[in-house]
Amino acid sequence: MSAPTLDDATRSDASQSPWAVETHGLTKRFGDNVAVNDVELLVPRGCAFGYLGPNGAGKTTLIRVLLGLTHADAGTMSLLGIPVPRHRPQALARVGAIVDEPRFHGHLSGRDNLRILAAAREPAARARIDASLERVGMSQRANDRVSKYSMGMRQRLGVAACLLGDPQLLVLDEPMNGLDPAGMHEMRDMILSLVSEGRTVMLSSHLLDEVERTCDAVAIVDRGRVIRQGPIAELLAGATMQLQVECSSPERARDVLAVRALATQIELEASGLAIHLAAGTERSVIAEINRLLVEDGIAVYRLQEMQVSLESWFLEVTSRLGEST
Amino acid sequence: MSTDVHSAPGPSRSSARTSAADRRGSWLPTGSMIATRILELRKRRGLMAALIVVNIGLPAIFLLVRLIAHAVAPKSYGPAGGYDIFTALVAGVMYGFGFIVAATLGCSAGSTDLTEGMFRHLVITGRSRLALYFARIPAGLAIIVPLVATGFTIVCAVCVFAAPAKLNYQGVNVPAGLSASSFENWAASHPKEVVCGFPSRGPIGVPCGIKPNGTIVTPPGTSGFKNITPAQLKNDAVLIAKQDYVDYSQHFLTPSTSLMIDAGLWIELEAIIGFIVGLGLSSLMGQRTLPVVLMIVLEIILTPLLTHSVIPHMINVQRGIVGLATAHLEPGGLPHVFGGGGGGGGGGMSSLVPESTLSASLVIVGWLVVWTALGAWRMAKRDA
Repeated sequence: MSAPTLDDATRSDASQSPWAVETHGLTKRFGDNVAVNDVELLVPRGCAFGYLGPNGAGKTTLIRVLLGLTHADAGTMSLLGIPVPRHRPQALARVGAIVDEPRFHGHLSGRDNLRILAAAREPAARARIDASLERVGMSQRANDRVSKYSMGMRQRLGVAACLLGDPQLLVLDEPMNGLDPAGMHEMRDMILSLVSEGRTVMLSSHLLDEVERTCDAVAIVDRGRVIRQGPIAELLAGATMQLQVECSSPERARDVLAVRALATQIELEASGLAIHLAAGTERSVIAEINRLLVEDGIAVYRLQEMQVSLESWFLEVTSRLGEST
Repeated sequence: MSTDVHSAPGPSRSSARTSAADRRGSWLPTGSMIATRILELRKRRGLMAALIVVNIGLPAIFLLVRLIAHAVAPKSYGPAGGYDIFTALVAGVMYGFGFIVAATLGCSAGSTDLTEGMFRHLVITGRSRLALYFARIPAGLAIIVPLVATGFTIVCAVCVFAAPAKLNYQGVNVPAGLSASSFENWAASHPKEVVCGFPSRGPIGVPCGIKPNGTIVTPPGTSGFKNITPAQLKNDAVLIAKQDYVDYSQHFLTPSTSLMIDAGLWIELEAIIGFIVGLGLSSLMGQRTLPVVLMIVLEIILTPLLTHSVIPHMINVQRGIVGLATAHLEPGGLPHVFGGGGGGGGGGMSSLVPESTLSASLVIVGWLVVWTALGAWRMAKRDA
């Protein structure tokens, strides 16, 4: 009934794998509903990785499959280069995770809850309890019952529980949920510090602003499928460009630009035009637009390239764009 | 997170290798897993209070009240202990209630990780789910077995040390532990008490009712007095003593050591069964309340109903009930549980559905194995 032990070859492959999380064709169905649909996901080691998606997109289900909380219907996956579910115990030995809202035995203290979890890990985990509590700032309240903890304190206790295993990979499902702004700031610092130690943090969230501030790379999941993934800077570079133009005659300006087919979309606004350019458009096109308008006698008061946020890009690439317009 | 997270001590990267001694894929739980599981159960105040009250509090309070009452008014209230009190407490209180509270403990142990959200944390550690399940068994037994033993020890102590000095048999003070011939000799020397006090069967020469002056009173509905000779009176007393010896021989001042040991093991067995079945059932169902209700229904309603009269074509199903099996293993000398007449050694005919000791033992082992397997299987397959 024991899980197979990790042979030397597998151990060697694991240590050489550049990916903290790797899935191929991963699929999970609930009846007719495909919650995780043929997911190809590569999470590089040593970075903060955001797993983004609208509510119901399948973020938590994918995490549950990765951690063995539920089984996959198809596909392969590995954690820290170790194939799971075949070697799940060995893989999870170096993984810490919070899935959904962190819940504990309410009648026990935070420290006692960590004792229970440490006992299920390796013997050294028990020695990490105090350090983990101190790291998340829970030392003073460690002996209080968890039933008296706030949501933010339970989140911190959840992170402390993750740290018991000295994890190389932390999987945090909506870690900012229930936190006040100060708590979110502290959680962000915590994640960054963990990454600075060489650990990988994979967090799922729908708080795009937080992910943009915290993560180096993201994957966008929608309706169970990963539709984009990569470093945030690269992904945003591939997003459509938008220009805001204030001018003396917006309608005439629209007609001038429409003839030249420089833009993918031109919207008439109260103060001017919103011009959408295709992804990868050269910046010289912006100068060309300005030249065309001026040559046609239109006074250009302002011409501004709008910074594409993760949020606007996210809305652009996910189905939520259609729902919000 | 008020501390500086960058400078606060944290897990060391140097320990990032999986220890060779880390056998978390094994189905065997570690000692520390069992210890922390005991901690988790022990700190459930309400549950522990219920366990202590039922296993220790009820018999202790009952005996304490009897001790006080006897000390205050010894003529009105008999001694607190003794054989009869022992058998009544063991078969009447500790057996049934012990099963129910042990089942409640098992149902709690089998479901709280799920209902309180800890199961997910535990699975994420990579520890074998079977090990997580099996850790609960020694942990729960480490709580329930000593509690039952403590309550039982109190009962034994009081019943031995506060036992009556004389055996009261059918309202007559009789020396305890007499052999058949000694009993008959004693009857011959106390003919009036025996003739009028002891139950008799068959044609006995003298009617009951002896006046202090030696005249014999006929039973109501008959007329007149009848004088009989002392020899006839003595002869009838000996006859009655012969008839009643088997019954008398099962009355003692105190429970014997062997009876106490057997009874202690028997109620421990019942508690262990209650715990293991409750654990498996609640793990299977993923909740506590309904399994507790089902266990109470099994013990209080179904088992008494199905163990006393044979239902045509259903006798093997009846024999599969664990309560019937444990009733058949009841030590001799205790009155039958579930309201049956006679006792394991009570001299009366057992009204239980017949079952051999081997069958009863197999039924008990079967229940323990099947419910453990079901609970462990569900735990291993359940979505966390």
